Amino acid sequence: MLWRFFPDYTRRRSIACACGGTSFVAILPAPFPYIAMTAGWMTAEIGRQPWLVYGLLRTADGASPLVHSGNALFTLLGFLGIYLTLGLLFLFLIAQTIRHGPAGHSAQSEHA
Amino acid sequence: MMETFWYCAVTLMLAMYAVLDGFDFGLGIVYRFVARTEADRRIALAAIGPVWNGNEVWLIAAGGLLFFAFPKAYAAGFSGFYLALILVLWLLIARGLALELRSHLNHTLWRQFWDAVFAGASTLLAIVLGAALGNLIRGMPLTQGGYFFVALWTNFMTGPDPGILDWFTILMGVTSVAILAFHGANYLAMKTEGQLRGQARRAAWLTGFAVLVLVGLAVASVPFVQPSFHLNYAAHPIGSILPLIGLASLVAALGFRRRNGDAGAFYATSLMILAMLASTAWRSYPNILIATNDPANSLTVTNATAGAYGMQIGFWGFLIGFGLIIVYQVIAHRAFWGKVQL
Repeated sequence: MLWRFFPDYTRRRSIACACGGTSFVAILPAPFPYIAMTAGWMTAEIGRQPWLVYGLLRTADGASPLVHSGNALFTLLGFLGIYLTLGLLFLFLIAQTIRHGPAGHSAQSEHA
Repeated sequence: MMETFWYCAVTLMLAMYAVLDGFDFGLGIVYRFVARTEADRRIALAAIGPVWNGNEVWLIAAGGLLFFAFPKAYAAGFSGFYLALILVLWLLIARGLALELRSHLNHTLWRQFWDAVFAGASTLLAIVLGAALGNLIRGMPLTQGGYFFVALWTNFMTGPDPGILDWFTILMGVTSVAILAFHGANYLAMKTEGQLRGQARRAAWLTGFAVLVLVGLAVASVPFVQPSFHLNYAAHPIGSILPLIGLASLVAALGFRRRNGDAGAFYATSLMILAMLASTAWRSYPNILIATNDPANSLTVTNATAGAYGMQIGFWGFLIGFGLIIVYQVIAHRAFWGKVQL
């Protein structure tokens, strides 16, 4: 399935280093920066609880007193929707870029 | 004394934001009408391409300064306008996405979709930010603890239980669309040539007259919405110089427009926005958030302030930081000076 995103350069290019085995290993670490960033952020946010400002202000005391939970739920759902759309757009555009192949090989039509 | 300095500093940051991000919002408002072909649209987007992102940061900086200097007003304002501010955030996200993603796919439908998002988000942002200013003028029902929450709308009246949208704030929103469209069209005319410049000039001419009418209406309705706004004039008539500068800049902008002085018209609308916001802030002083129910609940520069020590220290930090920003902005704008080259 993953291979569909990666046109095999080996057949079109005769450069020795772009052979199947090494390029497959090279793409394996791609998800790790995302995992590392998300995990680091979650460590900071969850690890600090129940404090909003460590030792000074509790999360429960930092909440806006007059914003109703319905409003917060509405905006949370809105953000979920935005980030879901963004994620799908990201995957779609990445797939497009990969289909284009490496720069100079099948040159991108335009960029403005 | 320090409180007054910080009140001026926050006002200055917000006014700079309105002038700088204002021209790229304005360009977004007129964009779909003046740039008809793909070539023109790319030139129009390239006119703001290198600067719109930096312009937006002035809003963050203004919010940061408000948090630093007047934390109680910051807390009250950001929770009271919760829904409106989240809306602003979503619109800013959509607008940034449109600018960034448009070029990634060479497909007519894709580009038209993001063009519509860009223009729509720019227009709605101008409305929401204009309405926000309207809310600051009209005031809000503050509790004794210094909090409030306003729904997006109630009965569209400016009474004791107002919504974010009422007749006055909607008028302010529409006025803001006209002002920023005028401002942005002047900018586009200054940065382009040929047919696109001709279209931008036509748009500027039309919106310029809309500004004249709408600003007149908005200014005339302020005494009905916020009677306390004449107090500072009564005490210090010298302050009337600010709205007079605003009016003179508007007349100058229309004068430059008549003679196709694109750069002159753009600088005149910039000065107009600065003067109008300065005059609003001057009339509101010392109130930051005006209570509609009981004047004693208003958040002012004295009861919403952070400690004196922090303000003193921050004074030097602000001067150094502000100087650096100005230097950066001058360099960034000079690097892309003159007509757009693709």
